[in-house]
Amino acid sequence: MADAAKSQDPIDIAVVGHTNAGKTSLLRTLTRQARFGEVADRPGTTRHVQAIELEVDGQTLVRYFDTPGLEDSVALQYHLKQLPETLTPPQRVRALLDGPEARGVFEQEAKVLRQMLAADAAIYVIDCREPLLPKHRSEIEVLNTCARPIMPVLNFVRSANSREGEWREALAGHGLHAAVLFDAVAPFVGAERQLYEDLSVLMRQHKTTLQTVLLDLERQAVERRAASAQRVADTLISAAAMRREIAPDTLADARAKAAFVQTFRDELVTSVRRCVHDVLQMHGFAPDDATLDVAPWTSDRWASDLFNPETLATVGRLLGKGAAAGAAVGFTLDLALAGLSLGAATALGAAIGGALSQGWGQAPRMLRNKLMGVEELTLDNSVLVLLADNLVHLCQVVQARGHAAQDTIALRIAPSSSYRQALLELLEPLQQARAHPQWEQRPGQPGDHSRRREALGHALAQKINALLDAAPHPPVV
Amino acid sequence: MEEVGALDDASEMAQAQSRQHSEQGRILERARLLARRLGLQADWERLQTGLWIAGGLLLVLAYLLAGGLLTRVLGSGQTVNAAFAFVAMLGVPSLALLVWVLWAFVSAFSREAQPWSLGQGMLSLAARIPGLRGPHTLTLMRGAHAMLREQRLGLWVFGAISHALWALAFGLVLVTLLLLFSFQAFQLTWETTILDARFFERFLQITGWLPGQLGFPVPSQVLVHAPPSAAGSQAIAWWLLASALLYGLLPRVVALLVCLAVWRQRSSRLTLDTRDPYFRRLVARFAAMAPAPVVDAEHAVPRAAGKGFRARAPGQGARTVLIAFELPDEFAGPPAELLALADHTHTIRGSMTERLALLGALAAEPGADALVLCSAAASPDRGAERFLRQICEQTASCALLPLALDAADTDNKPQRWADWLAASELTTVTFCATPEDARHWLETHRG
Repeated sequence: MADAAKSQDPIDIAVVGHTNAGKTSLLRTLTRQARFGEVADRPGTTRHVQAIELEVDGQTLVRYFDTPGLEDSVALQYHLKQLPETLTPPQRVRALLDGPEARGVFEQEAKVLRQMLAADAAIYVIDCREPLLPKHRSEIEVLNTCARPIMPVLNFVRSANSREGEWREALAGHGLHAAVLFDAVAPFVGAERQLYEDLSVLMRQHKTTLQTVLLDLERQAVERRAASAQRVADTLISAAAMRREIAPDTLADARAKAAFVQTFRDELVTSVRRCVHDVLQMHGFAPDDATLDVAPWTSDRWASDLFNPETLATVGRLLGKGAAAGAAVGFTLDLALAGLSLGAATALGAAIGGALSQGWGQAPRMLRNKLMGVEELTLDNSVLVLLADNLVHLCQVVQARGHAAQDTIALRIAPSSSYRQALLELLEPLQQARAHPQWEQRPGQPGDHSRRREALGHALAQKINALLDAAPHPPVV
Repeated sequence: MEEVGALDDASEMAQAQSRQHSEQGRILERARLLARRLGLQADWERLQTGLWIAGGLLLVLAYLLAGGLLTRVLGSGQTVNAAFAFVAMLGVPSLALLVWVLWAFVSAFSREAQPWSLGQGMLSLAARIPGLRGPHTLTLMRGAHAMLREQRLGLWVFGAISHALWALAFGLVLVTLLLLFSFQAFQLTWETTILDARFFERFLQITGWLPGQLGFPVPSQVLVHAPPSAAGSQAIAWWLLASALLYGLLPRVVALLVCLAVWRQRSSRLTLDTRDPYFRRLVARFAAMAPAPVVDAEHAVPRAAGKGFRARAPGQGARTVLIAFELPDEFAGPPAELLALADHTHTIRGSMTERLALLGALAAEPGADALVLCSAAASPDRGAERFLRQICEQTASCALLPLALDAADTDNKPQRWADWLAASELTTVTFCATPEDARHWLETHRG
């Protein structure tokens, strides 16, 4: 199959449609290039034809051509009709392209038609919020004149003003029966797959190549998913490992204590922010991507949520009984310390608990701190749970390439949900990290790559990967 | 490495992008280029030199372990017990081999265990040789270790190195023995103080079986406390040489070959972990760099210069025309306040026939003032531009009002029409942002 693909030229697909229908946005999604072309809410943003290639294993399999909009289709169709009737429709198009108007009033349209004739197939992007007008009918007819397989893509189907039915009827009336549903603002899970499957129905001769593309896309999706789970796991381990010694005199001074706590929180936020950035980058998104609802993450809104005493109390309650929750509830009474645990006693208890399971390496330090009155600040389980939920949510959003479910955390981890159970199971491996302050990944310092740290990271990543399924998915209309 | 801080890799990314075409190839190329710039490669070469030196040192160590004891035993110059010489020569190395085999078994079943062998010792020794340490040596070491661990290659790589060293050492021992036996007279006996003669018999029987099978001369009998004879010593010497070859060198060579085979096989499958977050980030960055060539560039569109408005013929009264252009089916009709001010109303959906009919009607009575209503939600296009231009040619003045069908709808973007109008050649067309503006415009033109 690889040999067959190698000997073939790439499949050329022209992406056509009315002005501002979202051709470039669709291509950005298909090629995962957030910076491709220029997208603006302004008619005729794309005025030239730009090629973009889809590579699999270094081999270009599909070549997309982003074309300008067909703006003056009514006049264009009229013009085509004026041409000699003895010509076949594609011959008429060629005659038009050779004629003076191709460099004159129909300069932009000529570009589209030229690509149509050169391509193996066309993707016809439709903004289905638009009412069906004569100009659109002309558009479909002009495209049909080129006698190329056409795959209509209905964009913005999730919009309240979607006229999907009307459009489907009109397309069927012109012999275009299959259509892929798409939404540049809230893309569907699997829309991409469907597009390639439908394309391979349209172009049977290229079926194997398109199948190769599909397999590669799936492989990449699986790999991206595993990689983001790994990244989240590393961040959680680093957060659980965070441990700061706080001297008795700092603790006595309210202002110094507040500053200390703030620094601690800021360090956590910085580390999580890097994780958010990396996850977005892995999925080919720019942090300011408009097609994706990642504002809650890129605008740092999560940061304020993370230490919100109310949210933490809710989470603490939902976490149920058990020593961890007890400690969380107990300490959140001190509002200044919401989300953090302080105290040699707790730490010592944890250390002994940890020592029993992980060896006595930490005990001497704990004992010394206890004797000298030094206390240690660590993160509560409730914060870790919130953080895990937040990042899992982000991973889901970037994978679905769509909007986030706007549920609150309380709803997501409701007592009966399986998601809550899975989230709680993350805490167990994370407790290991608590006893290893050196596992914290600090900026500007090489990380710890000990065998145990890596093993824990892999184990946790697998759990998170499984969690991505357990968690409530973004709504599918 | 980048944990400490991101590297400035823009030019390397670009070079790698152009040189290689697969994901793996590009990322490896980027690593190579960065390594060259940061001096990692120089460090790596230094580390290699270090490895050779360490290899030499460890070879000497192995030789001393295997052969040193033997030469001490032999070098005493007196009568030598053959069994003692045998143990001195093969004892420590055999023990080491046994430990390695045990470790190999254990680590085949668990990820955690790693045998310590001469190979590993060599790597850590190489990194510590003074004068050969570069700024990145430790990083390289850590990287090499992590890579070997990830790919479960460590056992075989280090095993191969260590077996190679041992095999070399045994080669040297053999040569030493040959030289000693050739040019010095040793009196090899089976002397003992407390042991039974049968013990040596059994010992010789077991150890001599394999050399005997392979055709080496083996002493036929054990003569305990017999006076050393030249023939007896010769037979024992041959037996010792055969033992060194078969029990010392041969197992090591076999183990070396096994390790090398596994190493070769595994390293041919050696690829980057495509599920690693860092790998995925780089892939995404490379993907974003894919060139998007312009295949059909934008030309300055030759604009058909509008002929401008058609002046009103003298004596003609001011008339206003209302044109609803490309409005959806739900559109109930122009607002009543505007209808009241218009002399004629045309509603067209935009087909060519409708357009031509309308233009005909306007041409029949030229010099009207036309207010064109369009949908605020629609996207302006050149079809609309052509239409407006044609209207202008037949009228004395023209205004455009983007009409919101549903005021609450966020798809309405009247400002888009205003910007478009300002950017187009149709600057003579008055833009009315609200029906109120349009009413005002109609009133002024009715006079």
